[in-house]
Amino acid sequence: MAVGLLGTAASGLQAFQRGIAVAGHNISNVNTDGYSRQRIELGTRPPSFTGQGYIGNGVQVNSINRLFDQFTTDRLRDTTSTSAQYDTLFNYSSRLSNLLGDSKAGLGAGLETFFNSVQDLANNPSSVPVRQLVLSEADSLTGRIQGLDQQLSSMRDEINNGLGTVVNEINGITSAIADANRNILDATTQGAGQAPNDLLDKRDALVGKLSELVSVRTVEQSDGSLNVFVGSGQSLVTGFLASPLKITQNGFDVRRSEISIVSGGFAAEITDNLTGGKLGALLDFRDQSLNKAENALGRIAVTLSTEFNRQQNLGMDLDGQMGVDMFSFSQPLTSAHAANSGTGNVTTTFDSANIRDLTTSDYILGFDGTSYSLTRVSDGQAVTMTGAGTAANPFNAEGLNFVVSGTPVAGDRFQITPTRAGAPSMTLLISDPGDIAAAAPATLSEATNANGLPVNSGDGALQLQSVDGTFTPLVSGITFTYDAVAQQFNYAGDATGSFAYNPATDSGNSFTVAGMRFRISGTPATGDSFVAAANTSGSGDNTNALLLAGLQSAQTMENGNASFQDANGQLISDLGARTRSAEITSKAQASLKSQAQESRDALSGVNLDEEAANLIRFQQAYSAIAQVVTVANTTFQTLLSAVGR
Amino acid sequence: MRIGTLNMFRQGIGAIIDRQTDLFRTQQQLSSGKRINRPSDDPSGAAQLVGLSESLKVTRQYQRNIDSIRSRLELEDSSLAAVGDALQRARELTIQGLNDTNGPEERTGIAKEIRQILDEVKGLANRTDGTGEYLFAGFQGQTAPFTDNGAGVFSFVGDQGQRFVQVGAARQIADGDSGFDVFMKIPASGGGFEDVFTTLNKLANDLEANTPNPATLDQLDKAMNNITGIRATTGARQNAVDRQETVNVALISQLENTRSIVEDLDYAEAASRLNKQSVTLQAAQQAFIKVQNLNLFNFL
Repeated sequence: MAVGLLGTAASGLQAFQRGIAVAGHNISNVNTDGYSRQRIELGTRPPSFTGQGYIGNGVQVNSINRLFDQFTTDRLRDTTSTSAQYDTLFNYSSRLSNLLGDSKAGLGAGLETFFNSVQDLANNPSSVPVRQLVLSEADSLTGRIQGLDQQLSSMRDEINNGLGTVVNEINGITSAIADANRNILDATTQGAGQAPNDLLDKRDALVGKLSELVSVRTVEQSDGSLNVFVGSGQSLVTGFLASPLKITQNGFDVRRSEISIVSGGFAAEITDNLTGGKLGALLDFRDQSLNKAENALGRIAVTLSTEFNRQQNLGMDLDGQMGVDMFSFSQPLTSAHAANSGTGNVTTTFDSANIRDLTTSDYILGFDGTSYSLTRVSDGQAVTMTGAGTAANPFNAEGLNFVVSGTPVAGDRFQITPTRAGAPSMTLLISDPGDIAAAAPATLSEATNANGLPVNSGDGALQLQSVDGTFTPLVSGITFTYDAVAQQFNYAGDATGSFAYNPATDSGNSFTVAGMRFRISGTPATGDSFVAAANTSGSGDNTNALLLAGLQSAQTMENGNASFQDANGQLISDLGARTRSAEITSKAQASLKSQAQESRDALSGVNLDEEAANLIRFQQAYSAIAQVVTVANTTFQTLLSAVGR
Repeated sequence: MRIGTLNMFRQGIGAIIDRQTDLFRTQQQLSSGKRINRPSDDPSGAAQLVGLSESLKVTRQYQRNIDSIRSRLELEDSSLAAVGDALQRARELTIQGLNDTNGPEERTGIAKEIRQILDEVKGLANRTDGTGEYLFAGFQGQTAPFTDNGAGVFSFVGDQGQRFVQVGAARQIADGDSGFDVFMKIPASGGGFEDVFTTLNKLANDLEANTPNPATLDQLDKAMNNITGIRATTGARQNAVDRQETVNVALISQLENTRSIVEDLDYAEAASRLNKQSVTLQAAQQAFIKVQNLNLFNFL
């Protein structure tokens, strides 16, 4: 009997020691990420049958369980992924919007200073120092635009490097998960079906780390191994096998990194399917913010250059020459997809006349075997093109002309990024201050005699307002002579014709002849004449400078609904809103993550007070069972001494 | 509900960091005096600021343009006043010369003085402004507009251009008049036109020939009327410039006001927010220390 008692006591000693060991293990891992607390499950040992009935044999350790719930763990993993995504997105977005929105270093201040210098030119069109200032301001405006683009470009490099790093990290983790699958299976087999708790925790922690990088889904197999899927069901880990991700080049643009999954030696591009985590944030930022910002900046550069050049070309410079282009910039980038099999070729140019229709989007021009169709990338919408695609009659849409040649094959595609290269390529072409065309190319004055005395007898007056693109420099000039009977002006010289003018109803109205728009007022007499001539030495004329300065507030963008500064404000507001939304979502996700962590830890987290209590509980039980050993020993000694007498 | 010890630690630290971030933002606002320190603070406000900043800069530029046009108009006005005074003097001399009490010598003396006036008026007509541009040359500012062949034939070689200056978003005002309108376009009695210089020259010639002609005096009156008329439009333009300046000043103050409403910080609100946030941070820190010290092991 005493032997049985000792056995019972020994079983207790052993079980409670285990209990203390488990509490110790829990305490040791209180700071281990992903650790699930473990609990010792005790049970009675099989009893022995005696004549009087079954008698208990003490305690045994049935199992050591980890307290784990798949649902709370999955929720924590999902919130971790989203939280990491928006954290990263917020970081990059705020850098971008702070850069472009800076009140001193941003584009806004550059535009203001430049146009102020053009206003000064209008006040003082013949002053060479003032003209020089316009050139310096134009130079620093292009410098500023290029500098901003440089920053965007280095962010792009950073994103590309970041993608490489994240892909490497993902590959490291997925192969560790595949290893963990093998180890867990081995341990389960060796442990006769008992779960290898710490290995399972370790694998869960790896999946948690992986979710910070990209959103994944997991399915546990019946043998205990975990399969991990990414995107729209591409398998990252199947049992012991991990399929690595790889950085590949975009079919249109070799500098653009895409993500592919390598399986069976074959790489498939899955960039568009990847969401969540740091990787999702990097891709989202690149496509939604960075590309758009660079396109928007480029669009301002292209439109400003085009409009400024156009007005320059309509004016006359200090040397009496028609104005030359002031800025140069690159035409749209067009690239054929690497997989195109035909010999088709596309050349894209800006449609200067409709430059206001430019968008910030990229385009895909596809060939379906019979015809070309254009798709706007930003919203995936088809865009209707006019024209035939020939050099004489190019396809035309949204401020762009497309000329196609060669023989494309059905399925061939071309990518057009119209304004991406606009900002980095914008440069100042003029270095001679005299080349700024501040004057109108023509003067319109009443006829005089050789000494400059007036000869007209009526009080009619013609005032030149502007010239348009159809104007050609005047050679011998145009003379307008009024016929009061027919109530019309006849004109002759570089252009010939007539138009009606009734002083009673038309006074103050504008008329256009030979590309010159002018206002007529008053009542001319028959024979009164007016002369349009080339404005060859009109150094004091600021007509065109005023028109150049007026471009600042002209609605030359967004289909004629926005000025340059409006477009800049829209960009800043758009990026600001994106940043703000990323920040708000990031905060909300952080709080959801913290809730998920809380509910996971409510079950799985180690609580030191609880472990202290467990220590006390097992220690007390251990002391008590130790007393049983003492009692058994004393009882045995009593018996021995009784027998020995 | 159970609470994991590590989670308690994490949440305590998390709360402290969040409070610190809030406090830092407020501190940043207080030190910059701005409510919007980055576009994400208020995206639509940031876009509004871009527009406001441009409007302010442009309106200030209009004020600069006004300074420039005002000095030009003043120069023109003082030149025209001098021309008017000279013509008035010529008129008085002519009336004096018409008096038959004068003999040929007296009239020759008066003619000499009128020739000086002619030179003076010619000098005024060929005057340059501060930048060396001829004031009355139209757009041909680099060339003296009035020439004289020495034999009493005067020519205008400038043009009829009139320069406008932008003084408001939709307001352009001419900063001068062409010499064509001031000195040339003076209707002659018998039809056609006669320039001021020819009129003065005729006066002198007639006096020298001892045949003063009252008709030439009429022509001089016409010239003076023309100058007076031009001065009136110059004065009207100066008034228009003054009015536009008042409008611009009001606009600038209104824009500044709007900018301040959009961008500037409400100091009282921010200061009390700072106060509240520092109390909250302190509370979070103290709570963290208190809770971290509570542990059963302390009693074992």
